[in-house]
Amino acid sequence: MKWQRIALILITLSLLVAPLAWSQGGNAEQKIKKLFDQLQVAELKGDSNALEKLCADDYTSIRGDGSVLTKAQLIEGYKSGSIKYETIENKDVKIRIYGNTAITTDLSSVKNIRDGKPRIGTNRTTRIWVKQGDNWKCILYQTTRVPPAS
Amino acid sequence: MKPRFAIAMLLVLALAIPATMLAQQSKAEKEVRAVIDELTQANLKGDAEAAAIFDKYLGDDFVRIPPSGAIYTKADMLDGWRTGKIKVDSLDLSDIKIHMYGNTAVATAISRAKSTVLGETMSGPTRYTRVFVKRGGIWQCVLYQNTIIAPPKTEDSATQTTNQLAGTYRLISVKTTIVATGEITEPLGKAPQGYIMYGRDGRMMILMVAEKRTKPSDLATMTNQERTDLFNTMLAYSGTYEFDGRTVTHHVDVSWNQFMTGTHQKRNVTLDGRKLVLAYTAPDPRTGVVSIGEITWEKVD
Repeated sequence: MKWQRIALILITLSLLVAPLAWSQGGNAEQKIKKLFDQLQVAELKGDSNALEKLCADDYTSIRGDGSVLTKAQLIEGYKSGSIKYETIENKDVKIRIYGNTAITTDLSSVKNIRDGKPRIGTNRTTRIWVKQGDNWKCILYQTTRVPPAS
Repeated sequence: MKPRFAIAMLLVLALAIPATMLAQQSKAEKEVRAVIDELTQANLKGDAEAAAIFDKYLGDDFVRIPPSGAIYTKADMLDGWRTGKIKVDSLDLSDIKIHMYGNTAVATAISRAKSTVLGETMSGPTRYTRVFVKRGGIWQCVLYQNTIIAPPKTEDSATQTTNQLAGTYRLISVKTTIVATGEITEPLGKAPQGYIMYGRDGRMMILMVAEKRTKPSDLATMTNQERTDLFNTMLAYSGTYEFDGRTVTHHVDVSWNQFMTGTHQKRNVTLDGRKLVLAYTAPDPRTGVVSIGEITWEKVD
């Protein structure tokens, strides 16, 4: 009888905890999607204040040509106009949550200006987000240029 | 005395806890580094042995983004190892940085590999990111991405870059890989024939024919069916070209089917000694299925 009771308590607990864990996962996913959208708006507007808030201090950007930018260099790039997006269209946005870390991947068609030269292309992009205190911050951005279609 | 003792205890604890956390972090970092080394060795070993190691260290939700921007799953990778569709001749990692975030680790590095992965050839340096998540005591890789590092561009090097490509190359193979399934086909057969010529004057010319072509017995009595079959098993065009060290664009001004005239054909370029690989992604005109085309050439003296 005693074991049965313990088993019953455990089952009840697991039933209670599972939806809770699920709802937290779902909640985190919604938060990340919101931040993903906010980051994109900040990129389009060149909003350095928003970028400052959304990116972690140890943020690293690996660009399509394999060059690497720190957070300070990224923000400076937007301020000086050497980085400028005209349009960003996302497809295939996927969000994965691993506790206090999240990964977003997407396929984006972009029209941008790099160092004064316009570029139109398709990129496979990854962003890694880490929860710091109560806030999720982007710690890494990497983009791979999809070869042009013939 | 008592409050002093309590304060002293708190101070000791406050100092001890971050030290323990740092020690744990450093231990975890070493564990991740060991997994990276093991994966590098597995890459070089190849075949079923590599498949077994990757089976352990790749999460079931693993995603690989290679330089083509395609998406490969764990199943794609394991199948590639088992069937020999993945082959790594050399692999060298430098500038390895590992950032720990609790049970997640983010590793970045510069990777120099000579490899063929599911129809994709790699030779130059790439920026590499791997994300690991600790599950059941094992650091499993859930994401792996590569971005090609473009050679630095200067005005002076533009002419030099064009000259790197100049020459005549003989056709070795034409392969297309369906991105979704990894299925490889050879639309011009196993032994197609052809040449591509890049001049130092900025003009190019290409001629490719399929392996199997029927020779008409007499030009005067040649049937229209024979003409159609011969037309459908060839490709030829010419134009000016631009090469930036990574991508070549053929600005076509004359072509065998007229359809290509006036178009701009872009190809990713891999130059490895005498070997030239021109790659592109495109949907199949008949099925709409996205595939990676890879045309391999060898320089002719």
